[in-house]
Amino acid sequence: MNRAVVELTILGSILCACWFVFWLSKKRATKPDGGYRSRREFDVDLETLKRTVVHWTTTTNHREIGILYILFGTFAALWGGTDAMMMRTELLTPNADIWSTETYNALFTAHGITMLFFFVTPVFFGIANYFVPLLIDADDMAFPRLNAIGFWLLPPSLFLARGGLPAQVVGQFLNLFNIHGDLFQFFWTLREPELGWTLYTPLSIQSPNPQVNFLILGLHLSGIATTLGAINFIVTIAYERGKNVGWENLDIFVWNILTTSGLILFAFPLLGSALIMLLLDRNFGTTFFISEGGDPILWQHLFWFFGHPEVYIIFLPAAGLMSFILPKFAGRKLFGFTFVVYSTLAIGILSFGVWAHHMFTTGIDPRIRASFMAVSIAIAVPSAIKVFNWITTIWSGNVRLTAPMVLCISSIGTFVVGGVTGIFLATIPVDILYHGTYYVVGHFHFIVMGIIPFMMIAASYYWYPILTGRLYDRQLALFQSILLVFGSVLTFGALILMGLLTLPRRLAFYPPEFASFQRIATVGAFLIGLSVLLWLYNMLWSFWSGTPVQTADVWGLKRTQQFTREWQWFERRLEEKYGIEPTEPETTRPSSTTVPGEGSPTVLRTVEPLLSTIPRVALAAGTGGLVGTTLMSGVLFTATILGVFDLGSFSELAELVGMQGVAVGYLLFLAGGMTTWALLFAVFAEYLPGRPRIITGLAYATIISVGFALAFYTGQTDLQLLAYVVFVLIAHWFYGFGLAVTFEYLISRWQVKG
Amino acid sequence: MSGDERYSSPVPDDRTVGSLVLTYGAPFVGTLLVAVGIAGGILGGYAVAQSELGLCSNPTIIVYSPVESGQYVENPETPTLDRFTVAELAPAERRAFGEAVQSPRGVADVRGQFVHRQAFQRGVLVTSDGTVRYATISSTNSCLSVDPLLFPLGVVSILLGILGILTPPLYRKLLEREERAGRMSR
Repeated sequence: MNRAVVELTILGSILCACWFVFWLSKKRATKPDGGYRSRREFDVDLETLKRTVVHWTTTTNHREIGILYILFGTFAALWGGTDAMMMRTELLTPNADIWSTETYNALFTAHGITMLFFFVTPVFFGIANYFVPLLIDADDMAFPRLNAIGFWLLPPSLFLARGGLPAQVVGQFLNLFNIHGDLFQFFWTLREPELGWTLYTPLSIQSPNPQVNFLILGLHLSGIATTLGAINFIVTIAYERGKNVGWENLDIFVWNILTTSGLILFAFPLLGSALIMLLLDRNFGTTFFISEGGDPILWQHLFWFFGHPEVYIIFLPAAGLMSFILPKFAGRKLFGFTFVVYSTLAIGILSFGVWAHHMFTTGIDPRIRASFMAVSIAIAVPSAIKVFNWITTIWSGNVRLTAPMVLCISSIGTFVVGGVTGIFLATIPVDILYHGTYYVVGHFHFIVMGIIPFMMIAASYYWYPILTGRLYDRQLALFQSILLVFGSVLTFGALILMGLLTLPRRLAFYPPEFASFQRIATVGAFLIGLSVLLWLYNMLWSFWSGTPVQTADVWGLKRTQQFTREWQWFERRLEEKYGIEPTEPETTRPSSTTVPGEGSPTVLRTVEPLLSTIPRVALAAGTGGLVGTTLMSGVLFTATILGVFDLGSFSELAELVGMQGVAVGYLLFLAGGMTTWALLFAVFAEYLPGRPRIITGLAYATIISVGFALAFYTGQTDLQLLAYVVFVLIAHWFYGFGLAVTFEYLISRWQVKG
Repeated sequence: MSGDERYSSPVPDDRTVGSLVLTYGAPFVGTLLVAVGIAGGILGGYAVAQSELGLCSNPTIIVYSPVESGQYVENPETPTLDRFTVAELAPAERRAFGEAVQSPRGVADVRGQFVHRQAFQRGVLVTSDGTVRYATISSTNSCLSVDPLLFPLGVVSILLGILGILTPPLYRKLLEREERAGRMSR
């Protein structure tokens, strides 16, 4: 199939549909005076058009440049997303019979480059451009003109990097009219490169495709644009803060943008240098990355010295948004603010010391590999600090499941999966096994999809009233968020499973036994695509037809005293522009207090009571566990007499600790019932469904019975199997009953406070 | 939401358990059906279009430059490859070889009978005007073969899915109509 025409048609159709939705919603919008809906006349006159174009191409206002960045990034996301959908379509069948193998190679190359360089960073720069000056109480960015230049370098760099596609379409268009000749050879020659986004040498040097040169130049230009933006952010945050904004009360999102900008300052110039060296190797006969005179591995070192910090350059702003938005819908201040800032800075520094973990299979010295393994595992610590603080912020909070909050909570889950699979990859033996498989693709997509776009969309919903003065369709937003999360987990979960079966990535062909996995992943990818279109529809439609806001406190942030500076600015603006009076809630409470259930939890602040409480709770749980396990044993004994439970399965338990015999196994079973399961109940009883405690105990026992049924199953079939399941369930209910009643009795008798 | 409805207090959480199924459940199943339908529809539809429009079965060959071909010509460790002169190639092969040599990217489609396909699959050394070049198949461009039922099933799935997605607004309209009818009868 002709990829170029198909891709540009899809992209063009999406853009036309966007324009149509925008036009239709504008047409049906209410008049500003609140009167009847009016048919809008199509009054595009040349003068207005000219004025608008001149205004938007010459603006130096940080908010307008922010919007330009966001629009550009969204366009790039649609383009890169179309690549992804086409790639997934190819993988519906084991043979490369929809696109050719060359097209497939070009698709994954273009997808990676577009998403990483032209989607993520521009969108985050857009959000930061709009909100950082508002959050630090600055009038504008430190260098407004530099800001504009930084943005306007991006469209040509995208065009350079991805020019192969439009060139190909123009060539085919000329062919239709039978136009030939050397003058137009350019259009029949350029094709999208087939290298992978890492541009590994020697392939990137040997590739005869001239588009590779333009791609290198485009990436170099985007690097310059990004570095300019980063310098501007650093200077703005350092020197343009308002009178009342010190380092100690800088918002968490601003801290993250500052760290990200620092990373950019060190990483992107290096990429620029490496790209120039590559360009020289391709065109001027130098031998930096050629085995005769240079070393292809040198490219990998230089590239990944940029590439791994790049991972954090795109992750940290997302983490900043999470730390910023999550507390607003949990009704409490970010737990461990200082530690979250320190973890951000630690990630920033450590990210420059892990690059060689991408190169464990290149045969570098094992001692060097080991040191990079250690640092790669160590970087999980600051990331985990963030995760624990996010979870603790939600803990017992007054959670409101709005679309941004659903995305925040889901992101924590997907980020944990992405992170944990990454820690496995950081260990050399596992990496050698899974290098170049779908496991790697699944792992990093759980990060790059599972938190980055999730947080972008969460931010778009959270700040939509500020950006447009209107509210989006909340039901659609919630639905879209759930769909996005579901699609992502389905797609990238399937990729991880395929990777665990060691299916190599970047191949258009695959063995037929993987077809089901690939099809599930493709359906998941289509769900992601549909959810993105729904988001786009909501954003465009609501721009004209959303409910206008009449208070700046749309999210009830004043109730918990989290009405941050950007909302205060918005409130002033509403008052100045529309005469809308600021509102005050009837009651307020601080977002951080020591009262349980209101402010941040008092973890580790009350060490003394904890020391006296924990042993008593543990003893109560242990005793409850003993009673429960004894009751459970009675039921299991009855089941043994009836022949549906095999006591021999206890001996398998004994083998786990290197011993033998039913008696030893039973004692272990008893110990487990008194310790592991009983203590877990003590910890989680508060959060399990059902009141009073006896119901909680039964619910808990029902949940854990599944594990027991699987572990102690000894091949029962038919009716015997049914009886086995029933007895296991009854036995566990007895356990839950005994555990809960005893625990409750002892806790109240010993007057242990929760 | 109507355009002139304004919030003067924080956005309320007004979801009830009963409405969740229709508001989120039905469109969710609908979207799932659309996604599955797109996959099936594309495969089924393209299989028909591909054979009708002759979009497959012309493999692409790649011809390396003389310098790059050196590693296959001079290296004794590489497997023995079939050697041909240009004159020995079939007409379609010869045409494709010539086009690939001329093309800056070194690729061209073999349009016609591909007599030495198996040899090209392994890689061949072709001599033209005293210069030896390595050539091989870079893409087979095989034809898609699927069950003919896939296309109609995909379309039906998409239509059902759209119905599911539109359930919430349709249900809202139904309720509004009932409410209006109730007011009228009173």
